This record gives sequence, C-alpha cells and structure tokens, in this order.
Amino acid sequence: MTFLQIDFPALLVAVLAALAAALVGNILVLRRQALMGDALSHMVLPGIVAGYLISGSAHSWALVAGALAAGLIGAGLIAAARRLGGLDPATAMGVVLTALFAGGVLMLELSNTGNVHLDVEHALYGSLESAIWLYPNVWTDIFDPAGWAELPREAPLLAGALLLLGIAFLAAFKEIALVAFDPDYAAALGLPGWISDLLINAAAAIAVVAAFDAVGSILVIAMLICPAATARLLTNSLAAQVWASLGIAVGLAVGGYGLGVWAAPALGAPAALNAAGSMAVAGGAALGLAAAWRARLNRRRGRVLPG
Amino acid sequence: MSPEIRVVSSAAAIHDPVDAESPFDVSGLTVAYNQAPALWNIDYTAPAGALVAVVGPNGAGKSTFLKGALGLVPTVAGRAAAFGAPLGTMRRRIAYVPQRESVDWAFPATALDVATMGLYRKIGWLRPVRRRHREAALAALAELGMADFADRQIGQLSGGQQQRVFLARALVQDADLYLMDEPFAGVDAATERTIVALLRRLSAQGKTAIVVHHDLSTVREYFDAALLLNVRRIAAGPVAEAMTEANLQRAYGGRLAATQLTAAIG
Repeated sequence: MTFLQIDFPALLVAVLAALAAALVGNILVLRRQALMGDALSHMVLPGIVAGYLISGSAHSWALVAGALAAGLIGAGLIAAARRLGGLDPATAMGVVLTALFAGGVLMLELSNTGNVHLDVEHALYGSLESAIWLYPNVWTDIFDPAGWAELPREAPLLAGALLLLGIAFLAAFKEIALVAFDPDYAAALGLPGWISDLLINAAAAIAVVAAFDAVGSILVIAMLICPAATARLLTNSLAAQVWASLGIAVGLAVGGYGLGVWAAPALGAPAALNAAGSMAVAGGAALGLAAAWRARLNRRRGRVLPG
Repeated sequence: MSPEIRVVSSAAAIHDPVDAESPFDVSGLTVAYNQAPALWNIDYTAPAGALVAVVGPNGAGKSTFLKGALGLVPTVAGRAAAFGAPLGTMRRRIAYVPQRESVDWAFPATALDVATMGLYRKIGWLRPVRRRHREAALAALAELGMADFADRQIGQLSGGQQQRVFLARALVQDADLYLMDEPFAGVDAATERTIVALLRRLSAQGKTAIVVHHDLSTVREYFDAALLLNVRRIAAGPVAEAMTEANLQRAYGGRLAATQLTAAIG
C-alpha cells in the first residue's frame, strides 16, 4: 500500500470536508452562531436511524439523505422556535438539538437496532483512516476518470457539497454580509430574517452532514469554527476572511494529518494518532496563536479585540 | 395575551381607513414582549414632508414603534401603511436607520461596504455590486463628510462617524420616507450639525422623516412635528401643540425636572 492509496484519499476527504465546513463557518462565526455545527451534528441522529431502518444497511446513501433531511428539519425548527416562540438563539438551539438527539436515541431503542450500527467512536472521530482508494498506482492515475468510481464514497459527496456551497456563497455574498452585519436593516429592505435563517442553517446542515460521515462530529465542529475564527482575527475584510479561512482549513487538514499520522510515530508515539483528532487540535492551536498575535497587535496599537 | 386585546385593537385597525395622502400611516399598532404591552393601540398619521420627532421616556416603545411599523418585531394588532399602501409593499421607498448599538462594529467591513448596502435592493438580490454602485455610495459618504474614511474598517471610526455611515447608507437609498432610530444618540457636536442639515435637506426635497429623539431641548429647533409616546399615544401634532407642559408631564409621568421642561417647551 502506498501514499496514493492510503494517505492521499484520506487527505482528499479531509481537505474537502475542511473546505466545506470552513466556508459555512464564516457565516456562523459572524452571526455568533458558532455552536450551530454542534447542534446540527446531534440533530442528524434521528435521520441516520431512519435511513438505516428504511434501507436496512449501515453503509448506504439513505443514511446521508436521512441525516440531511433531519438537519434541514432541525434547522427549520430552530428558526421557527426563534421567530414564533420568541426564544433567544442559544435556547432555541439547545431545545431543538436535545429533543431531536433524544428522539434519535429512542428510535434506536424501539427498533432494536441499538447494538447494530452507530458506534460512538465512529460518530466522534469519523472514519478518515478507512478512506482507501485502491485504484491509483502512479500520480497521473488520480486524473483518470476510470478510477473515480472507486473513490471512497465520502469524496464525491463532499465534492458535490463543496461545489454547491461555493456557488451559493459566491452568488449570495452581498446578502450574507448584509444579514450577518445588520439583520434588522436587511428585513427593512425586504429580506426577512426567517428566510436568511433558514438558508444559512440549510447550508450549515449540508456542510455538517457531508463532512460528518467522513471526519466525525469533533472535527466537523472544529473545522466549522477554527478556520473562520482564526481568519476573523487575522483579517479586516470579509472577502479576505473567507479566503484566509479556506487556506487555513487546507493547512489544518494537511498539517493535522501529518502531525498525527507521520510526526507522532516518528516522535515515539506507539502508533499513529487519530487523524481527525490531531486536525482538531491543530485547529485549536492555530486559533490560539492568532488570538495571541491579535492581542499583541492591539496592545501595540492600543485597541480592543474584535468582538 | 387576553382575547380582549386582540378584538379591541384589530377592530380599531379595520375601521380606520388608510390615509392615501400620508407617507406614513399607522393605526392600532400594538406590540407585546412576553405578555407585557410595549406599545398599545397607536394611531399616527404623519404629514407629508414633515420632520417628526418621536419622543418619550426610556421604555416608552419609541424604537418598538418603528420596528413594529416595519415588521421587524411581531405585532399583536394594527397595520402600517406608507404612501397609501401596506408598508411591506413600499420598502423600496423607505430607508431605515437602526440604532447604532444594534450592530457589531467589529464586523469585517469598510465604511464604503456598509454605505453600499443601501443599494442592495435596487441592485437586486443575488446580483453583483458594480463600480457605479460603489461610486454612488461614495458620493453619499462624501455628502456626510465621510469621503476620507470610506476605506476604514468600521470599528476604527468614532461613534459620530459610525452614525454618519448609517445615514449615508440610508441616503443612498434615495427613499421618500426615512425612519431613524436615535440618530443623535452619543454623537459629537459636528455630527449633530451634519444630521440636522441632512434632515433639512431631505425635508426641502419633500421627503418625510420619523426620528426617535431623546433630547427634549432640541425638538423645537430640529423638528416640525412631534409624537409623544409612553406605551400609549400621549399627543401628536405640530411641535408647539404636542409638546405642552401637560402632555410632557403625562408622557414622562411627572419625572421631568423643571429645567428640562422649560427647555422642551422653549
């Protein structure tokens, strides 16, 4: 087994997941909804169980479809709880995420599939290590369409999600900035809050669901928040922040993988560390460094940290 | 909400026809936050081309009045009209200036970025901002003395400069009705003069401005008409008629000092 067959597919999946998550993360960070990713990664559980029950298989597109449906329903419920129930965003999120997650657990129990799928480890850390692509033997094989069908299932799913989110982000860039900066003004102009809530939550659900299966919930949350929050500290314009977050996302995916899989054993760890875990740790470290740099810069200029 | 509240105020709204002449016509507007009424059955018809001050103590529902009319907060009852049609269908002709504190000024945007937002509706949703749009926004910033600060990140502006950016964003909309929430709050003297000049210019062009205002001593000088609120409507009309000692005492519940009262009545 070679780099091309083991490390390359894992890196490809990690980079695609990081890019999709980081893109959406920019909106969540600016809207102070950073924990939306956490909520979404829990809310998808009933959808995954439903997909499993319908398809009868633990490795099926039905699970992804179910997760996406649950994510979108959950996002809709959060928006509705905020608008109709008058709950503050954090409360709305907390109520909906626990209700849906608990509903998923109940479904598991009632359907007697509790011991079949859904091992906790997979949900937390994902399955980057099992992303294997047997086709390529030399570098040029990567570009051979004949081999693409053998790509790990996560890769085309993530590529599709990334493409969709990228197009939506480019098309709605000015609207995203408007509703993130001044939702009241946006509503006065005729762009109601419930529409932007719903679309942004749907985008987050797509990114989370697409990335969740491959990299697990810990890395999804880290990849949603760390690149965007780090870029937020390093830049002063929205476009610069978004581009920087994408660069940081790639850097964290590759750097985290190298740290866990190559550097840790070389430094005396008994085995390679979990790749998703080391990427998430790298994300936290990058954010810490950026915060320290920003604090130093602000002290020198005598200004306060951005909000 | 008790059933009576809905019946009484929606009945008022049904029986009151829309004033086709008025740029801003509200009737029966009732807003509640957590069961407590923030605004109770407000009727108000603004004269065309007037500069109107919305005056009242803290918690009187002044900001809620603008937000309820614009549909930014859920209303229990009532309706708002602009230029003889439901306000929601007239958004193209309305510019809203929110309270400066309502947004995060650390947001990664320049003064020009924010001013350009005033054109988003005209540009069209999902359509790109062109150079001519940015030039129009820059001209609006220049009109408020902010041309030199166009490329500044908004967090690096003073409170008065931030307020000017908000006003430039409203100005570039080229609206006919301006709803402003506390534009004079916490601004320097130069900015205050700039805002007054802007209001006079808008009024001279026949435009209408409804302005939430906290400084009683300047109502008479800056505005043509006043609406006194304290959850309910206390008084409305030309400044001299609305801002009487009795009305002010009713609006402020006798909490006004003699000096404030003298300054307000003039």
